[in-house]
Amino acid sequence: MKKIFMKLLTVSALIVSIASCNDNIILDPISQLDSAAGYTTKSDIEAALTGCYSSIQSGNYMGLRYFIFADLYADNISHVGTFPSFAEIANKNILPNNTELSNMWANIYSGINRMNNVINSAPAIEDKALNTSVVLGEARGLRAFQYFNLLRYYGGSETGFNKSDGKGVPLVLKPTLVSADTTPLPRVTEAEVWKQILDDLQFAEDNLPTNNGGLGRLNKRSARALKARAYLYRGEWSQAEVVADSVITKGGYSLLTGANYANIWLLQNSSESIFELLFDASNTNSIAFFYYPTSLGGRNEISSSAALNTAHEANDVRKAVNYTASPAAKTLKFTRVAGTDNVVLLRLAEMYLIRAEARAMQNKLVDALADLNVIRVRAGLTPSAAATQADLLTAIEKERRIELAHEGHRWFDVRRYNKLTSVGITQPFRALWPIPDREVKTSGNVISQNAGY
Amino acid sequence: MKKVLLFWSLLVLPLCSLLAQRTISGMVSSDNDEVLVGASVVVKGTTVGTITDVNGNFKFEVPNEASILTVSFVGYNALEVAISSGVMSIKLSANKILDEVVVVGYGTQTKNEVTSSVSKISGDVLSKIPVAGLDAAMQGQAPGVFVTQNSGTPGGAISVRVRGPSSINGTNQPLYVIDGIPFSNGSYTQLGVGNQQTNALSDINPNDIESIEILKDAAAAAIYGSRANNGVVLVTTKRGKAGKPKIEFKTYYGNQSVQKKLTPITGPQYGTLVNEARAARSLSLLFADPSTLPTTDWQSEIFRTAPIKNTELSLSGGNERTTYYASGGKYDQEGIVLGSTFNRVTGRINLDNRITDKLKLRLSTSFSQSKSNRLNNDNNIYGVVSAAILMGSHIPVTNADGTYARDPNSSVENPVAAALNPDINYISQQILGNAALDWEIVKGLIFTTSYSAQLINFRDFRFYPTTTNAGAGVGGQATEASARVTNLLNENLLNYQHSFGKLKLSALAGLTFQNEVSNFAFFQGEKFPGNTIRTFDAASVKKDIQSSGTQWGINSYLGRLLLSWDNRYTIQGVVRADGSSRFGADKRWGIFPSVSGAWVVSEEPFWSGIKSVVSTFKLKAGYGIRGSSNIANFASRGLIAGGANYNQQPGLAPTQLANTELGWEEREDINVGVEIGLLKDRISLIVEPYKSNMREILLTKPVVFTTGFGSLSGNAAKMEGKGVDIGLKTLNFTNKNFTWSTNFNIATMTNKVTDYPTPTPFGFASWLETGYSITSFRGYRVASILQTQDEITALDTKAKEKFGTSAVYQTTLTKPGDIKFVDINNDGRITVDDQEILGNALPKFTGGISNDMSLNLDNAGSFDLSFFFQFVQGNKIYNNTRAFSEGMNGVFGQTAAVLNRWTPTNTNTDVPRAVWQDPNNNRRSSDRWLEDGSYIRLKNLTFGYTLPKSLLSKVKIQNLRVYFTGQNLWTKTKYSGLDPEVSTFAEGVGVNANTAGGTDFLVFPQAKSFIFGLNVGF
Repeated sequence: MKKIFMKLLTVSALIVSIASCNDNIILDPISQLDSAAGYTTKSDIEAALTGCYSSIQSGNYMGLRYFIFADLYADNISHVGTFPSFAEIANKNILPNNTELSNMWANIYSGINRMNNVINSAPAIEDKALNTSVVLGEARGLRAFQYFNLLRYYGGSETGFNKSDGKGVPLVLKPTLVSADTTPLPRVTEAEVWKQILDDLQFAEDNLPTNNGGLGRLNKRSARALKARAYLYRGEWSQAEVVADSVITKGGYSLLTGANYANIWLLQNSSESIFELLFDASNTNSIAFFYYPTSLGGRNEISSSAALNTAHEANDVRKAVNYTASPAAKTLKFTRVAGTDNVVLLRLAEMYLIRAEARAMQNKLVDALADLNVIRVRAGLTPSAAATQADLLTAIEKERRIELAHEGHRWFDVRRYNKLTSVGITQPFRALWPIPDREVKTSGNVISQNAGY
Repeated sequence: MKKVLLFWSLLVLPLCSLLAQRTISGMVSSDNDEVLVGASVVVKGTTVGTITDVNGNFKFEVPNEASILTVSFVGYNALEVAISSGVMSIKLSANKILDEVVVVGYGTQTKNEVTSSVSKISGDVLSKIPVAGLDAAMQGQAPGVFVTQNSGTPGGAISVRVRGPSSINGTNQPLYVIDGIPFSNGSYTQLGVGNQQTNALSDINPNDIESIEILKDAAAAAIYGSRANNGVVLVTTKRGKAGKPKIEFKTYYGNQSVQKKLTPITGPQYGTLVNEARAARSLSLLFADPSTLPTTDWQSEIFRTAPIKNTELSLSGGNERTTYYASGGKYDQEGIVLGSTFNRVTGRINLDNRITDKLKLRLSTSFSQSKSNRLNNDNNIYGVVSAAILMGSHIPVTNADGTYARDPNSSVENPVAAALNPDINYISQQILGNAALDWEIVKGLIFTTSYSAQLINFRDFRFYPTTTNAGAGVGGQATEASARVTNLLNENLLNYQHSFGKLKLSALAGLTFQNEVSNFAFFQGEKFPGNTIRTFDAASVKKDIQSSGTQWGINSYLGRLLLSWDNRYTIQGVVRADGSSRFGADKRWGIFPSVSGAWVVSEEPFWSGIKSVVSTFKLKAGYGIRGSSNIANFASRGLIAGGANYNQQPGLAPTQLANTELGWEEREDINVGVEIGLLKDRISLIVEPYKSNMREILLTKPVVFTTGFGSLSGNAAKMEGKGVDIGLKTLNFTNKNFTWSTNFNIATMTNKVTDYPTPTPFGFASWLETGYSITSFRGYRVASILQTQDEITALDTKAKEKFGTSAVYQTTLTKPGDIKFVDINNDGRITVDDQEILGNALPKFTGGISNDMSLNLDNAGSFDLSFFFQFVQGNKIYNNTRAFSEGMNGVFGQTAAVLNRWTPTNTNTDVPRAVWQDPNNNRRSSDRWLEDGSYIRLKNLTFGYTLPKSLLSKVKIQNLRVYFTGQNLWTKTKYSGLDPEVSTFAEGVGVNANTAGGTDFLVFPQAKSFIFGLNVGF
């Protein structure tokens, strides 16, 4: 009996010796950080800020879809490929469950959460080497960029922007840190979103340095340029003029010559560029891939529309850029199938056109015409002789279509000018894209759908 | 004690021989003439003796007065024989095993003792089916075990559902336990080539398998605790038996071909159609004269007759102390689609050694290497089958200059180029090893400790040369990825068995530790100097370099107590406690108990009167709770990930919200069963109804995107499943020369999601919503084809009255010939709300029936014939392939159905008009694409001939069988696609594998095969 006891003891000792390995079930991730600690150091916050730009680069957003849809849902780009979700957009018959919509929406808000995280964490980091106000300025400026872009598709009114009945989007200004933070916020009015955009932009402009590490990062000047665009959308003409003017006259940018026009994209980082989303071989996009034919390694999803081609006047140097002969019906703005094309988010030509329009609206017709003709003459065209405000505005609209083709302006301009029928939309509610169906359902209708869908 | 004596006898043998006075000799064999090697032959009452040699012979000297020999051998009844002169021939009879033994988790039980639901498949059945993996071989063999080959991809993923699904986001695949090792199954590829995944289980050679037991209910499976929700498949490999070495050589060779092709339209028909579609939108015509277009039958270009071959050699045997089983196998399969292959070499050594009477060592090891050439597939413009269907037939295979032709208007790759130009392959090397030591502490009490390892080394490689669409733009692209998985296990078990008169007690206690670490690396490079050098040193752009790792660990306590009285009443209790690193900090340990009982009524005295008719009548019932910890390794943690880089600067971003209460999924089971055997069990029937309540189902609960996240992990959903498993085995006829047996099984199953927060779309038309099955389809319903503009105007007018002047019934571009969809909510216009549940991918019942016949003609040999049908009834398939191949919306290749399209002169049809870009969205998810997926298939037909022993013994061959096997020879189905056994969302692809089953989209179909084989035993 004693022997058996000894044997059992041996076995028990053996088991106890191996049983004490509780660390087998309390493990830490190998390739991620636990978020409980949050961002606590200078390098954390710098990396978090970099992460904000990374989200903007997504193919669901400024890495492709955001801007090509603005031309596809209008008249500059035609759909030649296979994606049914693209076809819905091209057909101007978007259903609220279109995945492109929800992907884009999700991507923009994911970016906003990254920015809110930076805005939330930065003030608590005590490191003299960290310039907190610059970090906050950059994060808030980017947040303004995000909300502005949301309004362009999902907000506003059927007749344009900054109207009294304008619909906004949920205004999320705090980071989502724990599950309790996931309660849906309802949409606010368009005016409330604008107020936040302008506050953030002002803060960015006030706190960012003139140069913040190259064209790829938001700085004082690009924040200002974005503000000019915001005033344009709001129809605040005198501010639009003043701010655009300040960028044009004090920004230190210069237009490329007509002969070098294509180099804005072919060479990239041009003197005309104000804010450029940078891609490189290890951080690529699918833009040219979506345009280019299969024989050149693309997927032939979209082309320049025949209508865009015919919208050009004779001898316009931009025609060869906007509607290429070979490969047929593509654009020189995106040519690197390997995915290293930068995306020019803001450039000087747009500022001229903003100032032209703002001046025209204020009946400063001569100055407006001069601005317009800066763009026309650079493009190799004869100066416009538009003499009335109406003629001038028509000319500016046309010029914007050509000058900014493939850059994600056309549909929003159509909205601003309230000319939906000109791109074949007969149902005014389609001026606002539907809020993603999933978002409406998941929120239990706290986030309301746009009318008509 | 006897063994100790024997041991001593061996030691003192030399001494004894000095005293010997006469020599005796003989041979020991089994009652069925198997030579017994290492049998003990001892003079009764002495230590004088020897053991038999490799031929079963013994020869030794005995004292003159010796008269009786005691002959013994493990597994046989000891025998006393009188010593006779000359060569004695001694036959031992095998120990009668009273009951068939069933492997259950961590032990075995007799058939009468089994109180839970366990299905057994013998290795013989598996080795008959000429497929790569044991999972595929299980198809249709056991009731309630529903196996679907997701595609015909060689070595590809296969879905196995034991009594229906239990999870939404986790896997629904059972736990595979191979020789006691919980096996890390799954797909380790990191290359997206479409939806078809790789399958670590196909590294295992099915021919090494002795038996498979499937634990189907909680009473049986709860011993595997938090990994048991989807059932447990216990795989037992072959082991050696003491006796003369047995050598078996098996080989087969065959051809596979496609079962069915779709009918594409011709080039001229295609041109006409596309022109018509363009004209309908007033667009320029693409083809000046369609009649001049060539016609290519793309399916004929990519489908081929492909060889399949398999060769095995196994060696087994041993003596009383040591037994072994060793095997080697080589399996080579080419896919029926151009360019696809799967090759595997495997080896196995299983060794058992009785170190002393109290100590036993068991070793099981296998090693394998699988290689496969893969193809892009499924929802993929570079997919081979995909392109063969989506490329118009008006494009020739090659241009005049020999290059592959492409459709300038389409993004689809040339199918032949897609098959042959890219080089996509993987190599998977796997070692599975287990060493166990049994120590009998006192009689009946055995302590077992074991160490096991599963090591996987998986390497993906892909090269897109500049001749492919994918490589053209980037100067050639190479991608290499590797996964290294180390899965280590230590188990410590105490097993006690004792009989107190008629009461038998069997108890088990255990403590186990398992840990798995996986490391991944991924490289991508572009711009190569031509297409010859394909390694990264030549890539001028190192595009992507990544590595990552992950790990999980689980500690478990387990116990089982079984009490059985007089072979009549059995009660069993099982419990396992699992602590897992995957669970949240506030929910670290889960406890999974079960209790079950059985009553063998036919063993009661009162039954004796009818026992000759009803030989077995057994009732059983069980209840228990099991779990699933199949959640992502760090799903409970809030995570910040790197890689959010920009402009060569490192970026961080939050990727996941924490949930410290994240835990296991739970499945509560009730199982009852009746087993009836008639006429000495010539007819045996088992009926097992069951009901499962699944709760705490893991959800990535959707949260509004405005939070910056898409979902939050939590245990929230509920689901219920029920069904009846029925198995019937009959020995229809038997005599000396002819036997015929039938094995039939059928299972019903239903599944209902009883609590799910937000209805969610999956796949193409799949939909998850409370109140419906997990694999429901949802969409619009087709009302009719709109015939006139007046009809449309009338509908639009009504919509305008209600919703204002801009409203229309469907779209502003709807024209005659378009489909009118049903206004399900009756509001006067078609919106997203006009969709409803259309059907379900889950079959109403599934099963199989096999018939085995053998005809023994004695000296003329024997013939065997078996045929096995497998069937699935009552499921729907969403044929998304047709949404493209009959979509008429653009440049895709079209099938013959579109020839009946609506035109002003062909109005009596259900096929809409051809219109470029399909502005009415006639192709939307609707019942138009939903088809009946029921089928019955002659899965296997085998006809064999075994040569007579009399002939073979002359050439020292034990047995020789030649056979023919046909696989998938005949299918009856209404389904119009290539193969009704299909799922484009293959196992491993993520949540869609669970929620969007039964979706067909450009899937690699299964082959039918004709195979000739030869088995030789020496």
